[in-house]
Amino acid sequence: MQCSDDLVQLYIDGTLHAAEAAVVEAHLETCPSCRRRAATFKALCWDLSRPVQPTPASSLDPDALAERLLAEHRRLQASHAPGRGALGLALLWLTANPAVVRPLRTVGSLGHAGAGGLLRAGHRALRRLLRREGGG
Amino acid sequence: MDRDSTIIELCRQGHAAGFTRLVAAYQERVYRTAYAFVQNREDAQDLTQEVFLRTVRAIDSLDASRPLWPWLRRVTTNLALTLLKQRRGHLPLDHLPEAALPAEPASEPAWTLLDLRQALADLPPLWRVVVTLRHQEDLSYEEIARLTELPVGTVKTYLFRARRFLRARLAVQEE
Repeated sequence: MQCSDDLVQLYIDGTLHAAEAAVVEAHLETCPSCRRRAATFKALCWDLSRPVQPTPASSLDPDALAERLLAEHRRLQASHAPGRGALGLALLWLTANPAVVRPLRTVGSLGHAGAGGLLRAGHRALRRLLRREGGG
Repeated sequence: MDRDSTIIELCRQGHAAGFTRLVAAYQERVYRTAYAFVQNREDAQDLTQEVFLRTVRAIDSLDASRPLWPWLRRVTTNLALTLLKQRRGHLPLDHLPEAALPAEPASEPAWTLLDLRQALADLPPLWRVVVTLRHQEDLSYEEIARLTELPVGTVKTYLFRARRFLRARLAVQEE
C-alpha cells in the first residue's frame, strides 16, 4: 500500500472493512510518517469529539422562550378551531337562503301566539350556541 | 412514558409544563449545535428560537414514540445551512482560498482546545457543519449525507479536508 492520507482517516473513523483495515495496519507498522499522521488524526478526532461549551453563552431566557412557544401553540389552536367569523358566515348564509327563510315566513303567518313559542325555543337554542362559542 | 413522549403529549394538550420541559431539556443542546455551525451568538440564538417554534408547529405530526433530538438536530441543521447560504456573500461555503491553506506541518502538531476552537471557526462553513455532525453528533458519513443532502463522497471530502486543514493549521500555530 502507498501512503494515503484518506485511507488513514477512513481507518481512524473505523469505516474500513476488516481486510482493508489489516492492510492499513500493516502499512502503519512499517511507515513512521503514516504512523505519526494516524496518531495526530486520532488525537484530533478525540478532541473534536469533546463537548464544546460555546463562548459566548446564550442569553436566551428559557422562561420567555417557553411562554412564546405556548403562545404560538394557542395561536395555532385558535386558527384551526371554527371561530366567530365562521359562525357569522353561517348565519349570513342561513338568512340569505330561501330554503330557510320561506319556512320562517310561514311560521310568521301562524300569528303572534303560535310563532311566539317557536321563536322563544329558537332563541334559547341560539343563546346556548353563542355561549358555547364564547366559552371555547 | 419516557421524557420525550411526555413532553410531546403535554405540548399537544397545550399544557404550559410541556413547553417549559421542552425548553429545559433541549435549549442548550440546540444552541450549542447551532453555534457550532454558525459561530455567532445572535444567529445561534435566532436559530434556536426558530427551531423550537417549528417544533411546536409540527408537534401534532411528530411520532411521540421516537426521541425528539434527531428531529431537533435536523431542523437545526437545515436552518443553519439555509442561513449560511444566505450569508455567504462572496465567500465560498465549501473551500478555502489558496492563500489560506497552511503548509504541511513540519513538526508534530500540538494544540490546546482554545487553538482548536479558533481553527474550527476558520473552516469553510460546510466543512464545519460536517465536522460537527461527525464528531459532536457521532453520525456516520451516510447519516450526515442524508441530513445535509450532500453526496456521501462530498461529505468524506469535506471531512478529510477539514481535518487536514486543522492538523496543518494547529501545527503552524505551534511553531
